[in-house]
Amino acid sequence: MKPASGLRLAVVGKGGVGKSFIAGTLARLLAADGRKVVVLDSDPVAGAAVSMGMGVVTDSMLADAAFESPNGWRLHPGMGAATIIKSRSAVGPDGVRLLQSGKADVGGMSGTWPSIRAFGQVTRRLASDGVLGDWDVIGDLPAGPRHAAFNWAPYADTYLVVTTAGSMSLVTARRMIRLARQRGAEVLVVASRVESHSDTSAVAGWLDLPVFMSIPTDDAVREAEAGGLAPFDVAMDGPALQQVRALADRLVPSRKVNS
Amino acid sequence: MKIAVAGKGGSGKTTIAGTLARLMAQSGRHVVALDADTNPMLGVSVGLGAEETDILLSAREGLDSGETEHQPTLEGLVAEFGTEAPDGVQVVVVNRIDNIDPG
Repeated sequence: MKPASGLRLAVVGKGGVGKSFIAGTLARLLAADGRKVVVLDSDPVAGAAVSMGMGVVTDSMLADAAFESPNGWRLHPGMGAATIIKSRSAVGPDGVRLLQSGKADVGGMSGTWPSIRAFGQVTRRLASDGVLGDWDVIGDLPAGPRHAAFNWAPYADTYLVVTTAGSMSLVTARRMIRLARQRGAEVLVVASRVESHSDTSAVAGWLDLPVFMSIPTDDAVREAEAGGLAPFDVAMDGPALQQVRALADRLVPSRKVNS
Repeated sequence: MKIAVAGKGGSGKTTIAGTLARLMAQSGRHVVALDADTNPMLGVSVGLGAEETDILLSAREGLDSGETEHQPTLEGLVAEFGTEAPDGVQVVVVNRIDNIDPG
């Protein structure tokens, strides 16, 4: 298998730390560079779409893409991961793509099962087939360790572990780091909603790891999220976006040279 | 009374649940704080501290290891899996995921 030249990221952490903000903003930045980018959102609570500037997207996609065979769930013939991502994802600004599954509705999760199984097949194909190797794949995972434990991001070679300096968030981050390492993935710690330098130091100290990027609190981001808008579209000049750009520069070193 | 606290991640479920538990215990009620999250953090908000919360044995782990039996009653659950927190709140962790591909 040819190693992917695009990013293969899973964004993980406790609820409310800013996973969707970081995943969605990163995706928009890379798409604006002209890169091919898809965000895979498997959270039952819709999130990434808003951060990408696509409004609230509540569809559970791919409900008809898979079927249950005697040997388990399979994608229909002709439905490879590349085909599905190119033809079934929602298209956002600058051509950024969003594929999401299993959005909980008033009926609960039961009706979302085919969507979840098809989505799972797509993530596995992405991991094993070397497909879309030149695309950036960014997984916005549900909060907490459960989905990483069940391997909902098998394509990811790098886990962005997002945490605030709060103790619940840090305990979660420590669990996520253990899980990522069991997978053999690289761990990059992102300190989020940082109020001061001591927050960043607290994160590094607690996790005993360097902080790869520190993203400050930013009123403009909070206002964007309250209004259902993408921080990328309305908070571009703020301190948080500046640091997400720095994160993109570190993840894609050629980016800084080109811009 | 039996209360379930639900909502989006980061909205404050655990903080509200843990603080309610402490307040009710202070007013003399018997309180069981049941943490059903696979990322259990209720110990932090009832005052056990981050380090102790991180190592609380879950009922699921105890059962999987074969060291304990299923407890069909609340009293049994608390006796077998409860951890005493300040004001006498009993914290019980149901499930915790620490390993990949758990059975």
